[in-house]
Amino acid sequence: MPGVLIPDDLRARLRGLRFTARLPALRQGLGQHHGRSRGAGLEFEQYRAYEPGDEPRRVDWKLYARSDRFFVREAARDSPLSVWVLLDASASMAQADAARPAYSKFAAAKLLAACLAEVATLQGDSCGIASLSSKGVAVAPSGSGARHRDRLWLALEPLRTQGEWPIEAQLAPLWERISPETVVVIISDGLDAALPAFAARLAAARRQVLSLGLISCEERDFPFAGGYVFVDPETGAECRSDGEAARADFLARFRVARTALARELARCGIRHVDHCLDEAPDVPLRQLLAHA
Amino acid sequence: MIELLAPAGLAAAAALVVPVAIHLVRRSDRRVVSFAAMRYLRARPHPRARLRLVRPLLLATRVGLLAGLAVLLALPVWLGSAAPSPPWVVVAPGVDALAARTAVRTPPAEWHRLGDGFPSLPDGSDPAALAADARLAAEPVPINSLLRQLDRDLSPKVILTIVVPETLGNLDAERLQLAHAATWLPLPGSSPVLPGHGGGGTDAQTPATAVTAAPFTIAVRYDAAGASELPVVRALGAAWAADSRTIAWDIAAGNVPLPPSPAWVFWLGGAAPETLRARARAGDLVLVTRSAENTGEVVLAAPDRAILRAEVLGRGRLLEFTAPLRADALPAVLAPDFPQRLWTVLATPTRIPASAPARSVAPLAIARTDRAPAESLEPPLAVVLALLFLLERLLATRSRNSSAA
Repeated sequence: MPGVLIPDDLRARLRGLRFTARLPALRQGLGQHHGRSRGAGLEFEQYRAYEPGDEPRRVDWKLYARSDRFFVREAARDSPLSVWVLLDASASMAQADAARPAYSKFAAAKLLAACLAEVATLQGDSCGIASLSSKGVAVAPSGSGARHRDRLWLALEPLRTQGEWPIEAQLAPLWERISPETVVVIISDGLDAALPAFAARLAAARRQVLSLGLISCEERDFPFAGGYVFVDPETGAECRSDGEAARADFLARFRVARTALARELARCGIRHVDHCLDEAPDVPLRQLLAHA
Repeated sequence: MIELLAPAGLAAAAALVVPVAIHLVRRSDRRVVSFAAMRYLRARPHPRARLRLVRPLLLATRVGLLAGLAVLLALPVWLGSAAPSPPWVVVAPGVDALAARTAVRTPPAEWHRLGDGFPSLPDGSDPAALAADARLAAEPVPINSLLRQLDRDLSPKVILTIVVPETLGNLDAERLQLAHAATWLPLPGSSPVLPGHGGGGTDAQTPATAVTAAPFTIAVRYDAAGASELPVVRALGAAWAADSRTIAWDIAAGNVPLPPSPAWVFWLGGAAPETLRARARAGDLVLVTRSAENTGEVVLAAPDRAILRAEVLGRGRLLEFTAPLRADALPAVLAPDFPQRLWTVLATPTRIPASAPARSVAPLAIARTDRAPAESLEPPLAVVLALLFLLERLLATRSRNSSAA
């Protein structure tokens, strides 16, 4: 059985979702996406002049009759798409709400990754998953098909949060695996300062980047009342504060930070969607894949 | 009006500190949470100076519960409404109803006759009621006992006016003490006497054998005029000796020293000198002849006049004949039973006076001690506290459930 179970109702709602390639796919083979490869096909793409070696049956004879020249009729071939899901596995992703302690941000990220693999598999695209942490980058290689999807699901199971966001050198293997024109979905909490820069570099290198930011309900509502000691899970820093007194200030600053993050990513052409842990997981996916 | 019988029980209210402390302590403890978005959080430590209480409703319930328990320990009673009651005027038997009404100047009051059931006093408009009251006024009643009953039963706010005859009879051994504010108003008259409460005259019930320690001494001293009374004294001695009473007689002139106490001293010489009065106060019996000034109780009387009056002096008695002890001045001495009657009077021990001038027995004011008309508030308070306890349990458990959910 796959490690991360997708509930049946959620799986049913995933049927309507589609990855669409904004950039033409480079991969060879048959797929459902607008690709750069030309050849025999149903959808007319262009005429080009005959060159020696072209098959005579691809010459458009009716056009030859009108223009007395040989033209080869070319059709666009639909190409498969490659999807990479990058999971932020830093320690801050272990954040969970007190009301639902088992459903941490990372658990939500794994569920979303499983959903994305399912969507990619449904439309015949290949999918790979990588979890990023300063303690190590775990990669489940890209592939397609239902069996590969199940392998991805199994690979998701042992992933744990630890450390911080990886440094640049640790991310180097990703550049070798993630080829250009790939759809990259980064699922993180958006709290690591190095994330926007990494996403911007991916986008600048012709990767189609989508960003999914996870927000816990406590970050959204700040329901704390009374004295608390807040501990940063990554640095261990402590902050003593009173819930009611700090609420308005925190909510204002947090909202400003999220808006700034979304704006910075949008400037690089990256669509960013925030997802609260108490929402249905298909809602952000729908927003993310709507017009991609 | 609510009053506390044991106000010291309110000291239990000190226990109110406990729930308040609990709710304050819970406030101050700090929970540790892991919070990833901490960088957007500014340190806002809770201001320590401002005391705040968590779950105020639960705290109020608990405080109310403890305060109610403290009040319960203080034994609350309901003393009835604090509405002003009209003053009461009670008129003792021996005083005429109309005379009392004219003597007492009080704003509208309730008038009652001091008697069984405290019947109301007629105001003179109904002759039949007036006649009935006159019968009551002639009826002897135990005055002190009735006044004590009235003092206990009457609402504590009532102001009493007690109209009594100047010579008040039917008293008992205990001085009257009233918790009510009372005005003691003696009017001319005297109380009718209960049978058995000898107010005057002879008292044949008293045993004549009260003095039996024989032989005992009777000292007789006389002045110049008193020598003429000696034969009567000797005749008395002979009569008493004939009744087989052993008496040692010490008859001498007035300047001879008296024998040591205890003794009977007969002074035949007019008003008693101070030395004899001192002997009487020390416990001796002093018999004096030829004195008309004594106003004491008449203990021996002829049909037409008083013969012997008695006065209690300290621990002893002073008895004085109203005339010289001679047959010509006091024909009663010739009566055959006179020695026996005199012996009975002399040998009767000092008797508690059953009547007294009303001014000397005015009631003493005391603090209230009896709470007879009060109604205990403990049962209703206990019910309220039980409901409060249920409410407290409900609040405490419900909030625990909701915080666990």
